[in-house]
Amino acid sequence: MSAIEIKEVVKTYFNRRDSSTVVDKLSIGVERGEVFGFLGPNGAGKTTTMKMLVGLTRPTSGALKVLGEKPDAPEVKKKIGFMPESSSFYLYLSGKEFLSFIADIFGLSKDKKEEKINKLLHEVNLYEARDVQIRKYSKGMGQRLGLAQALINDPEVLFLDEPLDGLDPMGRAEAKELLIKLKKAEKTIFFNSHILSDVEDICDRVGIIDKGHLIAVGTEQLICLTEF
Amino acid sequence: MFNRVLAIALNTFRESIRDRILFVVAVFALFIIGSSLFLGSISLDQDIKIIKDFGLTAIFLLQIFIIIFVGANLIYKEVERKTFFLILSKPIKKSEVIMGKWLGLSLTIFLMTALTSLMFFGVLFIKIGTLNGIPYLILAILLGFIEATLIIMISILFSGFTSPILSSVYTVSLFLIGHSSSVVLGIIDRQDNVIIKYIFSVLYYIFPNLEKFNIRNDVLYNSIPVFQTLALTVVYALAYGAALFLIAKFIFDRREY
Repeated sequence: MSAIEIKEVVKTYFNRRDSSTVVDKLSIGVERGEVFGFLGPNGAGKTTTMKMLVGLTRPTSGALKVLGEKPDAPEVKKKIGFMPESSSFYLYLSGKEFLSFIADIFGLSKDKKEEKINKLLHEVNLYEARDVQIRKYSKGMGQRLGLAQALINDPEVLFLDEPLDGLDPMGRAEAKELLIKLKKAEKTIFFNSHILSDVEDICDRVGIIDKGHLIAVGTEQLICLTEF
Repeated sequence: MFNRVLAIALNTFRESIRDRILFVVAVFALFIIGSSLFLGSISLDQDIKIIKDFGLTAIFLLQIFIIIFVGANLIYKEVERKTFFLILSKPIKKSEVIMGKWLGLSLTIFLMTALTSLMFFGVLFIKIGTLNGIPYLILAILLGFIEATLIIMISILFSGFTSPILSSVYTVSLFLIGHSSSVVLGIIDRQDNVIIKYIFSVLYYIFPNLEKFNIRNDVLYNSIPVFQTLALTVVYALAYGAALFLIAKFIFDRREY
């Protein structure tokens, strides 16, 4: 069973006057433990695809499955982690309070919660800033907090929307290191990016989307050799 | 389920407590209560009545202002700031979010009501030197609080599909209509046209009858409603609140982010 199955998915947004199809007959399969890079320019349909995969929006037609179930199934949501593009937070909370809130939604016990939060704060290098209000965080710190909240439930499948966006070179290197560590732990990662070099070191396979259409899918080397 | 509702509720409570508007509204309420001492002293043998009148009104206005200025933003801000993207991708139902938001703001209003009520009772005690009559005042404040929880649900429902300004306008409109139920009843009684009579009768039952929760005048004149009436008012609040919750759930379930 694939970790992620996308079959003939179409997403059309309807307005009063017209409609626009942002994802058109998209079909992709991602195996368990695989790191899949989903590349494309801004507005190509990457974020919409990811929103459908985490149950935030429904496809107009076609089918999506995550771990063999529909994405909005509660059992699936317990096993996935999602980091939205330019993560938004409750700015009045500190980084630690925010992670604690997310852990409460997952129903983590008090001891496990404390241990997990401290471990994640160290991993994303935010431990020193744990009690600082998020409104005082830089964009890079926000991205790292977004990554930490996506890992709070020790997910089987991770959906990351532009996870390296806004990070300085040092932050990029640290985030990549963390993603490689997750890859070694055999997590399935679905990774949106518009920068090819971001996926080079991390992804097993790459898919390229443009204007809602899947243009190519394969290994990064294969795609580099393909003319389209 | 309760853990998730509680997590949302505590976060909403924390958000509203850290909102500066809350303190502006609370200071305003405390100012009215405090000034009632002065106004009472310049009135002719009506000082205690004026203090009670001002105190109950200030507490009620505090509750309504918190709902209008804080509650109307509740859901809209989540969508605007995209924090919903994070929350709704987690194992939580939209109905649990609605319930948590309602509980969190109710908790804020309960706390602010308790604090202002304590000041109100303090002012009253300074003036009359006894706690006689305070249980009835507490009853009037509690019914006002129940009404406020109902208006919170109305505010959440509107904030689910409109901007904060429109949500505030709709909530205030429904609040005013809800306190004008006797006017609607008067129109129904005076109408000869069956169709208009029927339309107003339907409207009378659709819109909340918020006057049921207003016993402030009765308390001032020591006329307390019987237990059965009070119990029916609470049942009405539960039934109307449940209906509002189901409508809000329906709207939120259909919405995509």
